[in-house]
Amino acid sequence: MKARVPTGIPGLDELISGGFAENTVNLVSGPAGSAKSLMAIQYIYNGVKDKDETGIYLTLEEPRDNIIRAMSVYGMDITKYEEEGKLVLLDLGEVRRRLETSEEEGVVGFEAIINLMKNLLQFTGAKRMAVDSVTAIGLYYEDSPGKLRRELFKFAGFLKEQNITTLLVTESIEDGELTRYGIEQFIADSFIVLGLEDVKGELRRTITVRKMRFTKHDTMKHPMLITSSGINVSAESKVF
Amino acid sequence: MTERTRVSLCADLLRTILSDNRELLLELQTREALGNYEQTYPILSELNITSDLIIDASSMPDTDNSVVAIVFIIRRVQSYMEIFIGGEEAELRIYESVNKFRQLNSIDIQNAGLSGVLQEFMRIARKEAVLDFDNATDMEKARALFLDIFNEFLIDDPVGWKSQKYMTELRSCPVLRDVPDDGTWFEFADGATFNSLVDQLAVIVDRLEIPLDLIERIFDEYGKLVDDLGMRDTLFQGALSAGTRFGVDSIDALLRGGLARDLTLLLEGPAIVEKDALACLFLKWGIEEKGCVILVSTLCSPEMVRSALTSIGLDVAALEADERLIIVDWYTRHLRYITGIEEEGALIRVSNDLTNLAVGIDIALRKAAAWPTRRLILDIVSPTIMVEGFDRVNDFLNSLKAKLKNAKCTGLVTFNPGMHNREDVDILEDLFDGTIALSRRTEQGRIMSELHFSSYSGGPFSSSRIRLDLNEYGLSISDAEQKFSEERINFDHNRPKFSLGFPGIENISAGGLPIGQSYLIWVSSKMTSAEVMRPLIIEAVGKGHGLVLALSTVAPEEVFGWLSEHDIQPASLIARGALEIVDWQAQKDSRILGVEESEGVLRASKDITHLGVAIDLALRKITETEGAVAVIETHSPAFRTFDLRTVYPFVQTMNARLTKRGFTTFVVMDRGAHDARITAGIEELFDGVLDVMDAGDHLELAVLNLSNGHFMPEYRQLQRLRSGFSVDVSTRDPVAETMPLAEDINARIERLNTELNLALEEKAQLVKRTEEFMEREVQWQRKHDELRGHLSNLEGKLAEQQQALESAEEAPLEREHKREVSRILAVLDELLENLPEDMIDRFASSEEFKLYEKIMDIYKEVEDDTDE
Repeated sequence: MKARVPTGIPGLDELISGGFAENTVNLVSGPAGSAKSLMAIQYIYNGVKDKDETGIYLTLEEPRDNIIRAMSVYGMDITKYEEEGKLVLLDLGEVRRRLETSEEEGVVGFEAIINLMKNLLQFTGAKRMAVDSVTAIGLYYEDSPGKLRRELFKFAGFLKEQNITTLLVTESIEDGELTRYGIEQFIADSFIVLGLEDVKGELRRTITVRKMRFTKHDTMKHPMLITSSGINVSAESKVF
Repeated sequence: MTERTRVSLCADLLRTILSDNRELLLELQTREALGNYEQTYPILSELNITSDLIIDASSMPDTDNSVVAIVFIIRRVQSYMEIFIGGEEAELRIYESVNKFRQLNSIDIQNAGLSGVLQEFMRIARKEAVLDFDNATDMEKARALFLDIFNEFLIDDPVGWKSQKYMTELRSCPVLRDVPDDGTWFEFADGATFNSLVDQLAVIVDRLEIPLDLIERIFDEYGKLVDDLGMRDTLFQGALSAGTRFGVDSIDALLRGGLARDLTLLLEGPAIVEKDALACLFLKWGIEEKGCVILVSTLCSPEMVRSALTSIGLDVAALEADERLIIVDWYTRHLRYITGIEEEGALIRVSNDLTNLAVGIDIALRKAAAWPTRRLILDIVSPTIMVEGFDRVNDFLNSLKAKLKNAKCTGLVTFNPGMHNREDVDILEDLFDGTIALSRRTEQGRIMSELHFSSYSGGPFSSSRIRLDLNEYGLSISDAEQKFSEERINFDHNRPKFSLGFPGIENISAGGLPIGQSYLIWVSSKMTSAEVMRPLIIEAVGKGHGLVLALSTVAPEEVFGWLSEHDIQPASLIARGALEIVDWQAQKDSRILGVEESEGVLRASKDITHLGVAIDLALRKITETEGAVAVIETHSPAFRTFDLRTVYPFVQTMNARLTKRGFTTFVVMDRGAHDARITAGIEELFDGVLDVMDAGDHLELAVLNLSNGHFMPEYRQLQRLRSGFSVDVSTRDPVAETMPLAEDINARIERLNTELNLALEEKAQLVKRTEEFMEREVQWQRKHDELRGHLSNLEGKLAEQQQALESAEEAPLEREHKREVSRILAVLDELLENLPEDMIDRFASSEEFKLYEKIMDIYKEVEDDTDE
């Protein structure tokens, strides 16, 4: 029985037997605006705040400042943790300055990420990592879906060897596939799907844990609220 | 001594069969007919059978393959014989040879583990027993039947424990004797009769746990004979009989030929307690006929089911421990996530998925298969149709009916036709083997329930209507001829009650509404929800109950105003966790995101899911949960805004959660706002239904339905008060007069208790007197023994005296004899004196003279005595 790494997100840990299984690669997908990034942020932040576990948040789309601003809206102040080196918020912009990239700006492949991570993980001693998002990295392989598959598989393999518990963020296509490339869910140890449903002109947020290896978990769809302190999953409530 | 191998034993068996039937087999040129048997079993190339049917199996290895191959040859021989002499004769000949072989080699066969193999050839005990079967006696036929059952049972017994147990039973059976070592025969003991024989053998069958399907197979083989012997109805608690009972006398009386087994009936009717009660009684009969019962519950928790079954006298704990009562729980899914199927002994919890419900039922039927009879109730299918759609549920029911038939299970599916369109009702009524229709009507303000069979394919039936009345004792059923029967239901009259704040309601609901249940209150368009809610809320708060409100037409501020008028501070209630308000009214005017909380009020957005989240939150926050009350008036707007398939499960879930937490829940709805199907469907979800009806110039209230309590089924006028209503109890009709009130019931209970105590006292006195009698008897017995002793002594003395007397009786005879001898001696003495002197001298000097003198002396005494 693997140890659990609690997300600290109210209600979510109840659905997944207390948290992610240790040293696993976990995936969250959802359409735009479904709070995927917020989930990833809370996962890293709560790890530092509640468990004193160093975490790395790798953002490939949103600039660092936006992330910090979003976090402060929900009462998450990372200044102190960054100073202590407990929380590493890594912006792709920074990565680009250090790595060779493709001709397309803002696109970097898994190999580059792996090279970066090798040193960073060793240096920081991080126990948690969030990558926001896999979709952005996948753009690097747009012309070669086969290569994307292979590289993604290698990336997941790399992560599993690093003694960290990772949360990968990916987009889903509205009214379409659950993940952007249709393959991400197969390499991950768990798969959480966030939903946005139109209910009488109002958007309802939902969360479903579709897969979680090594874990007895609730597979029902549950309502999810965004409160002043972030995501709150109504684990005992149902979606009607 | 070396143990014989399996292959050598099998070869000897074959040798025996061939030898015993040599003449016939040679005539039939059997060796040629057997052909190239090694093509089927190559191992048989090691077996040599000559045209004279001499066997040499010395080269065959001692393997299972060799054993199987030789058995194959035996079967071939038998099949060949059948062609010429018929199946029965061939089977008999083989049997005789096998039996002979078994008797000669029993130990070797046992050691080699070949008992099972030989059992294959022992199937014709009955033929061996009775060659002239048709002219055999009933006892002989019964013997043959049971021997076949036992033989079939013992076929697969690799370890031999079945045979051992069987022999023990047979040898200890009092009606049998002369049981041989192989148990294939028995004679009847002196005094055995047909009935005693059948009874005792049935006991053995029971002890050996012989499966019912095996017995049924043998019964089927014997066909009509089993019925002629009357065994199908009397054996195994009638489990193999064609008929059973519904379990309610009046209903069974409508079925002229009894209830046919393995049919599935539809019990349809509105949301009334009588339907639930009949379903429970149907289940009860399943227990009484020693079978297993399955209850698939969709609207009641396992705890409610157990309570209902306990109230009709069943020992639920014992039944569940034995897995004679199996509950398939499709209710708990409203309370928590269920992973597929969760089994806990006799309780099978099922997730939301209808497919999993079918799987859960399969599991239950498998558990039930071990029992002689099976019954299943599915209660209730209508809500599922509403949520899942008719087509899907119809498929499910078709499959269920076939499964029940296959499992030989008698089924009952409850249904509310008011929730569906006519076409769907007709389809379901056609699907099942019969329909029992419950109906309700109102006559002069009085509500009456009736039942009749509208169809039944299991035999003749009457479509007469019978009336049902729920009273303080249970269900009273009367037919057209005014014959009554009563089915006892033990209501919990001591359960605390809630009066809604409507004075007078306790008179029509036996003291009020039992707490911890959910109630639907239909309000007329002539009254507002607030008029009903206000007295409810004041009553609840006044009695110190925690309170959760879900509002859609009444603002929280209005509620605060009511409380303040009664000098109750809402803020303090909220602060101590005694009041939580969910406001679903604000979303009409303001934009609410999800669920927002301010000043103790939870405001939910328009989304019904968020309303559910808010109610869940309120339930978590309330701390005063003892006897807590929930008042909800959001459902009517919800049905207006969202579709039925969304709101119906919402109502089910909310009811389940509130009941689980012990709340007494009142849901206020506007009947006029919904169509008949929705009103019928909603009523099914509640433990009680109250209806406020517009009667023209006034309002009337009736209790339409009430679980765990009896009620007066009639409409009563409501009188408006300043802040509420009272129920008019001044007018009573003769029928209503006879309905005892709660106080009468308590007085009656007290009287019965007094009588019971008196009876117990009397019993104690009788016990004491009995003890005294016993003691006196001991004393009498002691005296009796003493007297007996005396008597024995006297008898002894008497015997002695008797003997003495007899001795005395002998003396006269002896004396007479002596006298006669003395006379003769005197004569002889005179004659002696006349003898010559020399003869006298000679006699005087002889030895004999002394003897003469002696005898003369003896007889002279006698003479002297006589002279005296």
